[in-house]
Amino acid sequence: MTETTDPNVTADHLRAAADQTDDAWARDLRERVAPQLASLELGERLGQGGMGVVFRARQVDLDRDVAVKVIAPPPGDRAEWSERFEREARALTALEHPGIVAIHGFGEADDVAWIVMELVDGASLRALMDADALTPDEALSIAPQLCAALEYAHERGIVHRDVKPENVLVDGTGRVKLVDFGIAKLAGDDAETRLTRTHQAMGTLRYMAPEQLDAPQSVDHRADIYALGVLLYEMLTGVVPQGVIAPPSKRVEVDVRIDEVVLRSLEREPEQRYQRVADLAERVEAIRKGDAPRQHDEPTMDQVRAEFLAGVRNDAALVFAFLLVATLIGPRTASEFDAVEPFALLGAAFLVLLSLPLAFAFVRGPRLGTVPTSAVRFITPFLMLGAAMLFARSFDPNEVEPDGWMIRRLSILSEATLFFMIAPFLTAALGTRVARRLRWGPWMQGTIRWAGVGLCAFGAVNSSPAWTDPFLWGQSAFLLLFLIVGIYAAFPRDRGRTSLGHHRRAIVFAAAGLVAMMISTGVSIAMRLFFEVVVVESWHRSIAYMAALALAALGGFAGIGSPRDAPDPPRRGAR
Amino acid sequence: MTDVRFRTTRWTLVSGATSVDDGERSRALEELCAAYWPPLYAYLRRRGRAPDEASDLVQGLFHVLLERDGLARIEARTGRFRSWLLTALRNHERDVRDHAHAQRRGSGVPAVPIDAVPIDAAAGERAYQVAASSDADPVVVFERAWVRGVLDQARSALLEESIAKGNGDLFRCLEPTLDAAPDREERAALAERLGLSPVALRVAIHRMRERYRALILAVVRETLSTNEDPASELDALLSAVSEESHGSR
Repeated sequence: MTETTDPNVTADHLRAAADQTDDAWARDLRERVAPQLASLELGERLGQGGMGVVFRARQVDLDRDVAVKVIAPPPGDRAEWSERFEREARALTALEHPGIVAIHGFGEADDVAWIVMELVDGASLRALMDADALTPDEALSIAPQLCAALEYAHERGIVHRDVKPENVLVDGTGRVKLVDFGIAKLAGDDAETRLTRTHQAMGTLRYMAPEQLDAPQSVDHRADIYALGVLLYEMLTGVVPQGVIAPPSKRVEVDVRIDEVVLRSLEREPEQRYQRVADLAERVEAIRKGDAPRQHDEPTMDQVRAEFLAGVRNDAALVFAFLLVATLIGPRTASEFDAVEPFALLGAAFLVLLSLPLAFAFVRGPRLGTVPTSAVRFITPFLMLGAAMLFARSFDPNEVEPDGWMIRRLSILSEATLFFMIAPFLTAALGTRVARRLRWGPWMQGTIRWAGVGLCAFGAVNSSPAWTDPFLWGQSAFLLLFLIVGIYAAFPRDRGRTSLGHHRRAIVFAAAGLVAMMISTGVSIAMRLFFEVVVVESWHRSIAYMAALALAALGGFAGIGSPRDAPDPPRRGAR
Repeated sequence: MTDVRFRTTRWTLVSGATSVDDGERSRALEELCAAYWPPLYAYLRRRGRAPDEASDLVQGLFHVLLERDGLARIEARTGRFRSWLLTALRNHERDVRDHAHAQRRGSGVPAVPIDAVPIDAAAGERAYQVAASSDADPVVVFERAWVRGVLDQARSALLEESIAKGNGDLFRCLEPTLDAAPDREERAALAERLGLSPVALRVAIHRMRERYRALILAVVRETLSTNEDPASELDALLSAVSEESHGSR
């Protein structure tokens, strides 16, 4: 054996050996628990966390080594805590997964509680990272295993709540095992206790999702996804993300596609993150295997689902709602269903047919994580088109004008309106998609966006109501309002990324459209310039009309897209 | 694995805190002496003794301790073997000096020490060279040599353990990593040689390191009585080494 005589190395070894000895707390807990665990011989201290100390132990009767986590129950209502401890521990005992440290048993006594678990003879991820930074390959080989374990637990309704490098163990074969599921919950849930606990607990805070600090009681599995994002970031870059987060690829040499995965997991709003660990894992695997970046510029149904929750995707729900209204109210107020032109029925059938895949996508859930949004986007305009046409066709010609020309004019009106409302969507949304797909620069994308805004303005000019004429500024004010809203809608990127931001532009626009139409129809419907259309003195029709317009506006402008919706494909080397 | 709280250390055995017969006590003391003579040798050399003289003194001490009344001199619950041994050596030095004076006055015959513990003078010299630096106090030299002794024992134990588990090859490949953390290329080469994944190799290195440190702790514990805190003994050893690391810069 050759040994170095480097005193620094020697000092490190001695220091580390001293670290393995019990400190006062560990000694205390060891003394408290030892009399309770007659069948166990407690060995050295393996680790220490905010909640307790872990000892190696020998289970003599079963001839196996185990780890024992010894916990000092926090001060406060002990009965309540005990109940919670037992509930949590029982749930954990049911977790059987190669990526999760198995729980063999648990118990408690007066001043101590313990969990006996599988001993992982390996190292914590923290120790590995402390020894030397992980390579991106190593990091990406660990991540999917973590995801698999978390996914398993999430499917069983168990949230880890404390995913951090200390709780990720790696055994001798490189397999990853998660430990301490749900234990964080036992430490007293309010943020205040957490903040006042030891520095170890402070370390934990860095892995906590924002909502976990705000409302720990209502945390769901997406908090784990956030922590996973932090962990992934740290594994890749060696630092914990804080403040304005630089994409990992700017810090280390790593596939730029990982940026999106990490940043998306780190979104403040749970709705904006990956909704399932499986989705995250899938992306990581794809990147790891070096798949073509095709999927990258294609937002998936998983993202769309997230946005649905954030309100943007309510356009689909509105389509359904309007369909209902249009079919029930429209024809009935005319002269019963026989008055409905066959074309309307055809339109309705067409709509139902088109909406099926969309509905299916929402109902089916996680497995559709990879359904590209382009499919959904393709369907949406047709839905809106169909809805508006159905509306237009549902007027009873006899009721409107004796000579029957009203129906023709109304259909022209509707179609013109459709054009003006759908055109911005087609231009801005689909156009932007094409631009992104072809990796045109931001200037081109901007141009397309502005073309959409221009069309919107054009539509506004053409539909400004006659009643604005008598007022000097009326028409200009109306146009201005229309235009402002249009521009506002076209630039979601500049207004932050919260779900509210997504929501706002659509709602504001729809509301503006609604108000404008209510006023114009309420006073006397007249479209100037192109179509000199006549009065429709019927409130329910007016409402249906307004709804159609609002719907078209909402759907169209929601479709313009947002940064979440279709992330720009990062270009390598672009800084 | 026995419960560490009740584990009987060698030094506890020697110091008679547990009820065992004298044969067992002296066997335990012999083992300790066999492991820790180099620090004594280095101490004496630093004090200006010639190699032969140092060997003789150490041998003489062990002779006294093991063959004669050594066990009787040990008080029950004596804290650390290290301090005790150094004190014993100092006392022995004094005794020998007194004895020499007496001899010069013409009484008695010089004791011919029987090798109570095998001493390898060359190894002693090496230990001395490693531990000594120009400005070091003899006690510091003693402590540094002691640390080396601890590390050597821990490493031998690690080797034995690895061979027993059938991991001898793994130990030989990874042993250098105990002294210097391998860089990325070295790790890649090792991983390939051992047929491990990069992460598995990291774990193997870490595990070996941890085990080594646990054995260091175990070795140190053997020199302490049960109620003594190994952390403070490690701290004491650390301070001897730290001085060295400052001095070497």
